[in-house]
Parts: sequence; C-alpha cells; structure tokens
Amino acid sequence: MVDEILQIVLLVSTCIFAVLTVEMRDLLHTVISLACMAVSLGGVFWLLKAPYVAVFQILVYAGAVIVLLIAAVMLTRRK
Amino acid sequence: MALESALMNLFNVLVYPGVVFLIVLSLFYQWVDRRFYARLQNRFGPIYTGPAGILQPLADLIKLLSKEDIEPSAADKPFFRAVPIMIVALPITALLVIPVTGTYSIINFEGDLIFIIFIMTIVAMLAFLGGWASTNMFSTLGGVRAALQTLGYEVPMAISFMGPAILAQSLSISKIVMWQWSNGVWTILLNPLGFAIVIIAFLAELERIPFDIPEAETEIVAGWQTEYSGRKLALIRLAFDLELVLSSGLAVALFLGGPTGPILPGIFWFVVKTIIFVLIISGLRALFARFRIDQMVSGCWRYLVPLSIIQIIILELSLGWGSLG
Repeated sequence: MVDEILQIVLLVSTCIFAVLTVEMRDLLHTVISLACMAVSLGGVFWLLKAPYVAVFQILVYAGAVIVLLIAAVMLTRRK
Repeated sequence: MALESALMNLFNVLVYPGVVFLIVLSLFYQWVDRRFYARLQNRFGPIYTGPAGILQPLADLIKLLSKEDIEPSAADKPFFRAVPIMIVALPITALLVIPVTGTYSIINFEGDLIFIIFIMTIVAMLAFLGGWASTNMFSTLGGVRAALQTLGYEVPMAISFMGPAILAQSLSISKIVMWQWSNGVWTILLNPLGFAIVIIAFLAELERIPFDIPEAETEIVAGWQTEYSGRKLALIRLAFDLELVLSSGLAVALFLGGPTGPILPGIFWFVVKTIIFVLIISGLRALFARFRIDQMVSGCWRYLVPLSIIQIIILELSLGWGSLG
C-alpha cells in the first residue's frame, strides 16, 4: 500500500519535473529540474526492485550528465 | 514488539549511531583538525572553551546561528536558501550508509557505493549552485571553480573506489568491510596507489589546501560562501565537518578494514582509524601551498586518472596470477 502511494507520487513528480525541464526560462533551473526528474525516476526503479538500475540511473543521469550540463551552462553568457 | 523495533530503528537513525552522534563527532574532528594544524604552525589553536578548547567548534556554531542573516537583494532566493539545507542533509544521508559501529551500517543495499559517489558529486555541485545563486562576482568565480574542480578529481576517485569493490566482488560498503573482516586483510595492502589517489581526491572534495581553490581567500574573499552569513553560514560550516567525517569514514571502510578490530568494540576502532585519516589530511594541509585551478585539473587528468587505471590493472593481474598459482 505504502509502496503504491510512493510510486504514484514519484511518477507524478517525474512528470511535473519533465514538464518544468521544458518550460523553465532560466537555463540553470532547467538543468536542476532535469536532475530532479532523474532522481524521481531512480526512485521508481528502486520501488520496482531494480536497485542496480536505480543506482546507475541516479549516478549517470542525475550525476554525470548534470555535471556536464552545468559545465556547459557556466560557459554560456549570463543575461 | 513491532513498536519496540520501530523505536529502536528511530533511535539508531536519530541518535546513535545516527544524526546526533555524527554531528558531535564532526565537531570533535574539527577540533582535532584545528589543534593539530595549529601545532604544526607553532600556534596553540582553540584552548579556552571547555577542557583544552574542545567546545570551541560548538561555540562557533552557536555564535553563527545567532548572528544576523543577510541575503543579497539580487540573489536567486529559492536556490540561495535551499543550498545550506541540502548541503547538510546530503552528507548525513550518506553517513547512514557507512558502517560506524560494526560491519553493517544502518542502511545497506547492493550498490550503495555508487550512491555515495552520486551524493559526493551533488555536494560539490551545490557549491556551484550556491555561488551562482548569490550573483556576486567572487561567489560566481568560486562556484565555477568548484564545478571545474569536480570535473578533475571525480573520475580518478570513482575508479579508485572500484579496487576494493573488485576484491570483495560487491558494490556494497558493508560487504566490502565484511570481506576484509572475514579474510583478515585490509584492501590497502593491494591498493596502496588507490588509497593515495583517494586521499588526494578527498583533499579536493573537502576544499582543503592544496585544493582550496574554490574558496581561495587571498584571491576571491571566501569563494562561493562570500554572500552567506548567519544561520546559512553555520549550516555550511557544519556541512564541511560532516563531509570530513563522511570522507574519513568512507576511506576507512573501503581501505582500512572499517570499524573492525581485535577485542575492543567497533566504534573504538572507527574513531581511532578515522582520527588517523583526519591527521593525515591536516598534515598534508599544513605541508602544501595552493595550486592554480588549471594546474589542478590538468594534473588530475594527466597523472591521477592513468595511475588509478594502472592500479586497477595491477590488481586484476595479481588476482589472475593468484588464481593461476
């Protein structure tokens, strides 16, 4: 029961953050939304009893990719 | 019975060996670090508050907590406020995965080593976010340097973590400690190079000299923390101490056998080994001068990454040799 509620919350937050990623105006806010989306998705994988997928999802998508995107943002001109 | 075990779990997470214990330990390590660093520089360090100045870190924390909290009007308010909270919460979360009192930690699952690497990346990224959100030129420069530094030290650190994981054939920190305990060897014997690389990477992670580039006080005031004051600065200072406990605990668990040893209980060995690690870090801090950011990043990619890969190759070859012979 708790698992199902958690899963629904995580799925909804994944969708919200995905929409925010597209809709945010500030580049840095976009990147943070993408990171939050990846973490929520990792949580969903965790609840589906796939710990390795979950762990690598957050390491690669919320860790490495976000670091590279932030490095790209920091080299762009600030308005 | 169910209530009792739930209360016991709550006690483990919140008091011992959880949040309260870890915060006390982090303040104690700050005192050890400051005293040792001061002695190496022919100073005394904190001596007045409490016996031998042991309460000075707590007094500093309370003083900062009670001071006025100023926010720059141009700052990105939500991020500016979220960073100090996150930067304390994440190391505490990561510390629950590290074995403190015995071979098993409060939370353990297959793959928690990867989880810790992720949290360390996010903590470093929070420094960038904090600097960027304060919109001060010094803060922005410090934050950009913190992000650039992460690109340098993170890869060799993650590769070096894999040495113990290969030996124990597990990505779980508790199982790595268990392997060392049941086999009676420390993984540092087969990974001396990996241990050295991890020490260097942790110096950069903790923003200590010679890698205090993001907060170089002679160049950019206080780096990414320039605009933080009052409660927020207190939380950031506490976060650095917690990170010191996290990194020393992680190094001890991965390379020095974790909180295991003969006769005495695990917590004693944990404190002894982590204090030795803290003293190594303080000694290195007193020994070196600051590197430039370009020297640091190119040095990491030119020397540390190949060395860490060589370490893994040597380990694999020796394992293969062992299985042949």
